[in-house]
Amino acid sequence: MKGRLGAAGVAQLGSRCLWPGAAVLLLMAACAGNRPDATTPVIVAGSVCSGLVALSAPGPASQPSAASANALAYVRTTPRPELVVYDLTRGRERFRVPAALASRPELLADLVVTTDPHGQLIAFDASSGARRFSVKLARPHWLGAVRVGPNLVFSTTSLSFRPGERGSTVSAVDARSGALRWERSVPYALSRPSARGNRVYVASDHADVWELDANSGDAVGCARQNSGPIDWIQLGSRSILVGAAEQARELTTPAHALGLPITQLPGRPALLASQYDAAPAQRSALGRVALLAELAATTAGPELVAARYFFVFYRELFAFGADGQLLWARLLDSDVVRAQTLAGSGLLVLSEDGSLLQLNAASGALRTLARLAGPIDSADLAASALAPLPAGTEAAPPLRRSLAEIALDTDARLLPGRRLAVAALGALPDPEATEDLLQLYAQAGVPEALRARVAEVLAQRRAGREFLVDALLADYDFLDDRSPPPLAAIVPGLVALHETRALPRLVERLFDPDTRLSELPIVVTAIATLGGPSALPALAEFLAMYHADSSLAAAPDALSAAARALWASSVPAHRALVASVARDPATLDDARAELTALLNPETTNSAPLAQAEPETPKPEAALPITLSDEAIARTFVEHADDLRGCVLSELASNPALRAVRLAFVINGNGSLSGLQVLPDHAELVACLKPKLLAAHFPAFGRARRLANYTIAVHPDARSFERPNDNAAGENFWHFAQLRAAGVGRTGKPWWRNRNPLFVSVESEPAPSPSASQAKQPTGESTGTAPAGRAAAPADAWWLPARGGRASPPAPAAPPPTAASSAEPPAAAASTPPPTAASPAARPSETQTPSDAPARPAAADAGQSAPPDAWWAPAPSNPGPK
Amino acid sequence: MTAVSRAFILLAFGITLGALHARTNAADRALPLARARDARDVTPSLAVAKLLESHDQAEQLMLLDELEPGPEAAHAARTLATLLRAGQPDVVTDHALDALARLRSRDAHEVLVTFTRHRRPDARRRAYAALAALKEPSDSSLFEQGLRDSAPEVRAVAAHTLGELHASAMTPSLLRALGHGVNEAAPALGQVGDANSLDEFDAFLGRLPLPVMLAGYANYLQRTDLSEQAKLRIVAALENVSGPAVKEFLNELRQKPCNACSPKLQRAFDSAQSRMRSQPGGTRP
Repeated sequence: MKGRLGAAGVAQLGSRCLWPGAAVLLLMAACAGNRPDATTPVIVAGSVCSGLVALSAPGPASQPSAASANALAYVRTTPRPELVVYDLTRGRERFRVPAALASRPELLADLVVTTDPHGQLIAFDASSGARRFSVKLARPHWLGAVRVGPNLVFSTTSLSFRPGERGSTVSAVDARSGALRWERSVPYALSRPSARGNRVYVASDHADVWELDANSGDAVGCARQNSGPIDWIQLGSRSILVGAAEQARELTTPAHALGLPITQLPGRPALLASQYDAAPAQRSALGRVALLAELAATTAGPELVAARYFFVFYRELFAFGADGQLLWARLLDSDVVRAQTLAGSGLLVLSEDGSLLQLNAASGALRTLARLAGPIDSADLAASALAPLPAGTEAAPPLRRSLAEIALDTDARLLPGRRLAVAALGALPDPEATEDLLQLYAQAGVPEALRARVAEVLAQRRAGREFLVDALLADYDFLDDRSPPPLAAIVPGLVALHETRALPRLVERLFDPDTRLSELPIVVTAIATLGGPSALPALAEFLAMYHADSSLAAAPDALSAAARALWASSVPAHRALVASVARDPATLDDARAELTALLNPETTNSAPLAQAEPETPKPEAALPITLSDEAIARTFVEHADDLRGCVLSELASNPALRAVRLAFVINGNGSLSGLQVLPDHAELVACLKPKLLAAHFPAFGRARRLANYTIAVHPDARSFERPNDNAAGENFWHFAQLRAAGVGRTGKPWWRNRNPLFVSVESEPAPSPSASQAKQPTGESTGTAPAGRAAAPADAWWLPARGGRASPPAPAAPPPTAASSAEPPAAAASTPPPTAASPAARPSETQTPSDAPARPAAADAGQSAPPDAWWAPAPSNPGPK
Repeated sequence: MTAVSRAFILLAFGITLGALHARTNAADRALPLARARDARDVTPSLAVAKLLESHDQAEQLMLLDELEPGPEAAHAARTLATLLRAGQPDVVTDHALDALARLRSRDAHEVLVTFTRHRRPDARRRAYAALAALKEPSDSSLFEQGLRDSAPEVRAVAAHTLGELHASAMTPSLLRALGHGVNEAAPALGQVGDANSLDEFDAFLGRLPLPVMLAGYANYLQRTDLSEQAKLRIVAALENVSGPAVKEFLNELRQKPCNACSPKLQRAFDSAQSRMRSQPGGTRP
């Protein structure tokens, strides 16, 4: 085993052997026997792997087996459940076997591997369909398998909330007989394995990458990145790429990360699928919403192969350049079940109706390879030797037409995809794209959110002015189900283009009862701008007719705009009209006030008339319909310092505070009301309320929305180190148990910097009886550690509930604190472990008993959750109430 | 002072205050009433002139409500058109439009057409009603446009007027309006639809409320220009629907004097009625 012993580890080893009495002697003997050598991994920074054991470079990839080189395995449940393998080279079905399956089949060399609902791994011969073997899974949830020479290596996990049951297992079985070769278990989350050469790689807890020997299961290397979570591993010939969300990076040079502009894509797909996700055999969104990106490692970090990536959204396919520019789009007849890139040259797509399609990567030209019997629930593709589709095989439709087809599609599930198509249409220079957008806007039954998006996009367009002018002709029609045109979107463009042909139609819209109130000022301003003196009679008629009418009471801006234009004309008759309207007691109050200001600029301290240009009010369509959680969070970030002060003040009187929960209403104009604070301590409320009421959120279209926000309060775990008593030959799965014993130093969790309102509690070190014996270490520079810190809390989530392989050293009693004194240590030890944290989200931060006041189990569970995690439990006791 | 005395004094004080308040209210009400009396005393042309000059809304309303058709109706209509174009508060606009409906003067046609596009649905409805009072068959297309209005009350007036105008050319639009839930189109169709329109009208039987359909059928059956065969088809269609409402409907038709009903049709009413259940779920006689 590769590795090296750090200086801190040596020092800790000494401190470990300072235990008093006989225990010390026994332990020293043990230490002497287990003294690590230069190849022993060292546990530092709270992680089982701290990068001290270097990963070896992945070797060459093994050649794919002929049986699975060009095949397709798929699952059908209708009319009866069965597994079918199709030979892509020969273009015919290889076999079909009746089978009720639980997980998506995987083509692995000469095997097709899947699981059944009874928790068994089933392996079929990929050529004949004969059942090779079945093996009972170690844990109920199957993650996936890889083929490494004669072995089949797979991982399973338990999502149980019971600490004793949750965890993950990597198993290796003989690929011919199913005999167990080796098995390793850890009490936390592992990814599905990846393999290269004779090595198996797994990511543990989204943080570490472990390299295992495929024959023995021994850990031969490990690495940890502190630059972000790891959801997947991709192995190159000389590098290991890891990543999560929209980012990919090389393991050893994480600074050169590749980030794709995919965060706005519907469904928020990750750059590569997470290897912590299980793929079911049944119909699911996995595969139907997916990003397909081929990555290669270079000296500058990861790169996109052929500088393009693909996005699948149910029936929609999009191809993007590396810069996020849309290259082509296609709308298929049915949902994509599975898609695979073909070495940068194209895409192989299997759709739910059984169509096997090959697409040209550059043009989107499409050819149907086969029509299989559908409906298909799930599938695995292995098309390593498929010839790419030559360009020009079949003409691809123009991008505009494809996008219009997607945007006009009425499939209610695909609304996010339609929004994407609308945005892409708006960015096209083709004038006809304007027509498409207008047609979409007028389409009956278009969801309001999409219609608002179309209006936003139209407002930005300058191409296709003739379509914009014609759109003004369309008025509301009850019998024809026709909506009024989106004037807020159309008119600004026409004014910018100085399109005077629009003037008569704008006047029609001015007197159209179905012109939206919010759009009237835009129309008035446009008429005044485009029409000049010729348009003034229409404005005069409008002002006279509506100056006292309640229909404009809610939006008198249109009257004011008309009056300004008339007054600015200097035509006596028009000025007289404005003056008489201003004097008329029946004139709407708001309008009269504005007109009075217009006529008497000196007395009302308003702007001079000459400068009184009609303002274009912000159209409602420009506002978002509602406020997103991100926008709310941004506003909180702006006021983070103020709010943090309130929380810190509350902490002074309530040290047990672990979260401040805020519930409130945000009004459409961005103001906040109805604030509820928990804990509802008067001082805290009095501090927070004025600050939050003064905060201004972005305005949005709806009248109001409910919102809540939680300010997490986390104890700042203190660093400590433990001597390395790890015996040579012990493997990575032992380290979790050592960590449970408090061996190691906690590092800063990756998620900590993501919460700007994170409030760190600097816990005062409690006076410890053992402090006189062993000085409290504070970091790596300190070479000693107290014996008392060797122990994890009795209710620590990572402790196995039963059947632990290596028992940690007996913990010394935690130093008494105000909180812990109320509960004797024995009672604390018997406290049932918390059940809120999932194994896949284990925090990197470990708290020791002496770091924070002893708290009940639930509070510890809450502490182990990231502050922004949805599953973070509320601090139940001691409650801030 | 005893409690009884204090209570008595308080009661007396309250009564005095109440009386004062009542006098004030009476005085407030007396002013417009006096003005109204003044308005009644003047001639119509003088009243119209006063209408334009007045800034008292109560007085304006009184003057408007006094306007009746007569020899000066055209002049009054033109004056009201001027008043409306000058822009008035809602209540004055509404009363002026109602006055125009009473005046029935062609001189107000233009302003009424303008007000069929007013932003306020109530103003549009009143403008359509005033135009309907003119009974100009040439306005059919205008009322057809009213069927396309966004306000249901406007569509209702437009549909009703198309029936009143016997605008048979608008039958397709009325059928579409009926399909879009403009129930007033049913009686209008009964007034204007020919025998060919009956098939499309029958298609709504079972989809629209029965009273709506019966209102249309009633008008169809009372038409003299509709063939007996078409009317017998209506009776057959109604018998298929059956039920107490239909039975009562046929009974009413039977009892009313009906010039358009042939003896054969009367017998069809009788026989259909006799075959229908009198109560829901009851047995047929």
